[in-house]
Amino acid sequence: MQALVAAIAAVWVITGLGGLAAAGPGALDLEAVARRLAAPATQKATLGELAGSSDPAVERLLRALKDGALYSWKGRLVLLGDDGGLTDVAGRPVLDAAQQPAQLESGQEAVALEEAHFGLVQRILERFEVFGKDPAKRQSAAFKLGTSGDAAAIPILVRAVEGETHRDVRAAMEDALAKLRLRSPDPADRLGAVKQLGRRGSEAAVPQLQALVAEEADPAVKAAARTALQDIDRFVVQRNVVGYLFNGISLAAVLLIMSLGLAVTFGLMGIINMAHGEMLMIGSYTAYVVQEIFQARFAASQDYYFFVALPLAFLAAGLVGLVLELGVIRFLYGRPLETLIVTWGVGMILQQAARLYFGDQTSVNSPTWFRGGVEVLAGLIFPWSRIFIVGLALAALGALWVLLYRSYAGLKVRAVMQNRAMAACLGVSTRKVDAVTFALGTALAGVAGCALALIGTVDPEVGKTYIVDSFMVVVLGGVGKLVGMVVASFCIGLSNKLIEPAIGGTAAAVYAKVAVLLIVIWFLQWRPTGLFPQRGRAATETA
Amino acid sequence: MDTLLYVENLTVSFDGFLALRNLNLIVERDERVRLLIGPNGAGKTTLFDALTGHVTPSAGRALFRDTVNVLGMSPHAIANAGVIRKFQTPSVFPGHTVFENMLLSAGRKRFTSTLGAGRGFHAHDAIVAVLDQVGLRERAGDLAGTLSHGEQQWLEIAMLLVQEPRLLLLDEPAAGMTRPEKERTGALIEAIVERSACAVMLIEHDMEFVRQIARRGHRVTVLHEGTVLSEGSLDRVQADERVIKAYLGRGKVRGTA
Amino acid sequence: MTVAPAPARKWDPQLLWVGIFGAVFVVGLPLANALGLVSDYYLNLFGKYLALAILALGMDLIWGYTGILSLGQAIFFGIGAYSIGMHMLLESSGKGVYGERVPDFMIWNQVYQLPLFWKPYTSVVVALASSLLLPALLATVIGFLTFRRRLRGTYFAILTQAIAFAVWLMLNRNEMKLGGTNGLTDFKSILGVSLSSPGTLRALYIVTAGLLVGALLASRAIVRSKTGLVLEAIRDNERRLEFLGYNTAGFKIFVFAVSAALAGLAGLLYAPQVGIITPSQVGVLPSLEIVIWVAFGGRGTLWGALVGAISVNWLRSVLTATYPTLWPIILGGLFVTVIMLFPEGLVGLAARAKTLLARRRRAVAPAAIPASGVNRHTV
Repeated sequence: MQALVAAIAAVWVITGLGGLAAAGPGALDLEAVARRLAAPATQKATLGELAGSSDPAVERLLRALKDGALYSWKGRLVLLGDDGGLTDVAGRPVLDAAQQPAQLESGQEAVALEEAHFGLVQRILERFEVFGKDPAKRQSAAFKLGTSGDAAAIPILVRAVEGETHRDVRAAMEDALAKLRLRSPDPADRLGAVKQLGRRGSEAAVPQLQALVAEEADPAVKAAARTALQDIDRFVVQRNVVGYLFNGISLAAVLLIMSLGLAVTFGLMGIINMAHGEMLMIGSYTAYVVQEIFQARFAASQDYYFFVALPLAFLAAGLVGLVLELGVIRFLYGRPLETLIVTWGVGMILQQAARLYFGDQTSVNSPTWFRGGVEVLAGLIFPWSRIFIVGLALAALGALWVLLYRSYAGLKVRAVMQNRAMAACLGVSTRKVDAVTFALGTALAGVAGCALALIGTVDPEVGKTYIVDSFMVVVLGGVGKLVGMVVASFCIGLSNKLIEPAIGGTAAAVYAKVAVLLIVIWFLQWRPTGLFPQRGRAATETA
Repeated sequence: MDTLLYVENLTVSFDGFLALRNLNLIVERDERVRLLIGPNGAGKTTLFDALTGHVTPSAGRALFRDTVNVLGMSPHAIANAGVIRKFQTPSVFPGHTVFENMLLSAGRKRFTSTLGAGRGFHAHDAIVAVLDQVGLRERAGDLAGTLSHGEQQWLEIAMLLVQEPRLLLLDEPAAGMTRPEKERTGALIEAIVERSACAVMLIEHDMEFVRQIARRGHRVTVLHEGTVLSEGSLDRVQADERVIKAYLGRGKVRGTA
Repeated sequence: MTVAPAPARKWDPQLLWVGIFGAVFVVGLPLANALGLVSDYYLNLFGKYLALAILALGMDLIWGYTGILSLGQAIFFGIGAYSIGMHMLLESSGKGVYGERVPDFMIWNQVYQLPLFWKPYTSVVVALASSLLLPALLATVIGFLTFRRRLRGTYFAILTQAIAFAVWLMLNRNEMKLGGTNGLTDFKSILGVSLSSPGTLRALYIVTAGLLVGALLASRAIVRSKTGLVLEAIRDNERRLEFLGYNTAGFKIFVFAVSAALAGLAGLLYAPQVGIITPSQVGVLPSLEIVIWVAFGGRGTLWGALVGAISVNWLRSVLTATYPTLWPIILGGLFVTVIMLFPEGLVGLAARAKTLLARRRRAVAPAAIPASGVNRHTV
């Protein structure tokens, strides 16, 4: 028995020493601290002492105090865990005389936290969050401390910065520190803080800096604060422009991926396929259906549904396109306006069928790895899903280019589109080429629909929102050339997203669309055949 | 100041390919027929395209009747100036009657003058006279689409004549015709230049037809690779070494009948 | 045997049919209504169909005759309907539940002052001019920008479609102060006469039918003139026509403006009779629907436009009541079947049936060979 007690004591001492080592200088006698916390008379003073602590044991203790889980047991202070087990202030389980987990007596009251001190405990606990495990929580805790104006948080932040390895969190902590130092009594300290905030372009510090400009006595600091504000303004403008550009590029990628299909059906073949938007819709619903199947059957590998959906969307839309070509379009070659009307009718039927079968609106969950994004500049995040779409658009563009201009099949396609009769004489089956080319165009729309499901809802009208813009892309680009599609997509995408903020207000997106339309019409005055027209005798004769 | 058409340094480029390169050509006012010959791809049709506003040249000018530069004018304005062109394939309006086709060609073309005009009686006498000339008066009420190939070509020539052209550009008017039809077409062209103040510029591949027209001493221009290779009477150009060289591989000039 | 067409205008037997049509719809139907043989509901319904028939006439002129697919016709219709709608709302404003001198819907949107562009519409003359001339003006501007630069027909269709889409997007916004998605409705009176009385609706019907006959005669005058011949030739081969010396852009702008004015007139007559105009009637789909009316009836014939507009809209009234969810599919099917299987429409079918009958009769009596050269080859 004696030996056992000695052993326990030894362990206790060792872990206590470990605790001391972890806590570094100014380590506390936890048991003594706990005792003083439990005593109403010394509670407030003790809390004040703990304000600068970063010891996890202190956090545990305070949290227990706040939650009413700190008890007195046989003269020691113990913490009641969520599972009902008791631990001592250092976190070790407490055993009773029979070496069984100790039990509280029934009806025992927890150590009381004075009502008046509750807020103080809360604040101290918040400071501990800058040492937490989750980087996102550490970051938001640092931000909170920065705006609290609580000078006592400075040493904590200093310590937190030292131990921080995450780049973004560290930056947030340094910002918070600088914001707190703005109130430092030492002008040199304030000057340093102002300069740092200005350099960082910290938008969140603007109110504090403005207050400083109004109140500061030291002229050097005041001037520096003014410059810092200007720097921040400039940074915010730059960041916004980068943001608009990214939005524009992202919209351009969406337009590009939609227009690629049109580049084939309208650009190469001269068919106005108004059901192109519905081919996109088929791609979106393919993604939705595949997702539902994965949820029901392969819940474990749900995220991978997208890699099944993408090729399936290509096939599904391609197949519908093939049926459309064989059943309708082939009777209407050379009559583009009639094709327009008929394909619109087909689009209506498909749209309504989807509405009747799937209902009005559904959506697709992005695979988890598409959630979140890259923070490019402070406060500016590029979502992964949009980056993926830009990548997919470029990949599709590359694949189409290789297919059309670097493969034998592409040679046949281009031969038929340029001189049907001649190609037929050379033994190319023009019927087959027509059908497959059209199906390729619609299949590309299917891929677009699958990709767009990541960033929007899936509904029967999803195609209609993009179809008009895509046709404008083809008209602006000039039919028949891929480079025209790319340039026109970017022109329309970027001008939409750059005009939008310039107009402002709730209807900005609509006005921007109208403005872009007017620009395109004006441009066609100047170059009626688009940016990259096809030239030559054949082109002018069919014009 | 007595040239009908003065073409200077005319250049037409299709994506870098020069269909016409620095082409110079003069047609005098008293010249009634000018024949254009040359191997395929020589630029004959492109020259007509440029003169009628069908393609935009990259350089050069083409003065019509010493004053009007037709390059850069719109097709309808060129037509109204008196340069009228017939396409290689017959292009009549097959869904309309012969008379309606003529009606479209005759009279004033301004919008305001067509609104009041009916479909029946406008420019009636002139139309009947020209239809008489080409021998289609009997078919005036038929749909143009029901005419034979040769008749459609004549209808088209009639449509050009009723516009009272100064310069008629004919692109292979006898192509695809039977021998008797060709002879009749040749006679028709002769009659046109004799009876009206109109000059004719003619593209032709059929050397026999060329000889039939050119026996009156009309000048022949040979185009090759977008520029004028040789010019003069038929006998002279046929004797020209360069022309024979250009035609080599296609048989001699004389052989392509 | 064949003689060139006679150089004189003759009495046209088709005018008799116009007269019969006028007698039935302008006089007959309202008379029957006054006598209680036709209900107010049906008279009103026919008023709507006849207004839409004017719209179809315009589409037939530009698409059926000239071969230009304008997907902006619904915009012009909308301008007509919104113009008169604004006037009617202003006429009855002040009688609204809030007692303000602005239309009620604005008050719901916290707009308490009449927007500047609404003010002229207190005058009926401005409203009428805006219904008829504004569409023509807009069409002239669009036509000037597109036809003059010789944009291809497909480009024109795509551009007008984009314009229709843009207008639709804008009209849906409350910021336009035109009622947003709800459009303009709750009209109470026109020219000081209550719209709820059967007499007013009957008068509106008679005006509509009369103006339809007028529009029909005007359209006939155009298509039977040499201008009509030029328009058909533009449809068949525009490039060729240019080489004949025609500035086709001018003709196209003219027919576009006329069709726009007709569409505006249709909207002007439609709004007071139906009592509502919303953005859903001003878009790409409504424009294409007009095309289908014309195609169904028979493009390139004025009767086809009338028959198509009335029959398809009647079909819509019947079918949307019984199968509302299937209607888009039926309409889409109509788009496909009419264009692919019956490109000549009802009038074309009737004409073919007539020729067939005539041929059978001729087989019985071979002596009746027509003198006209047109049919000579069919014998």
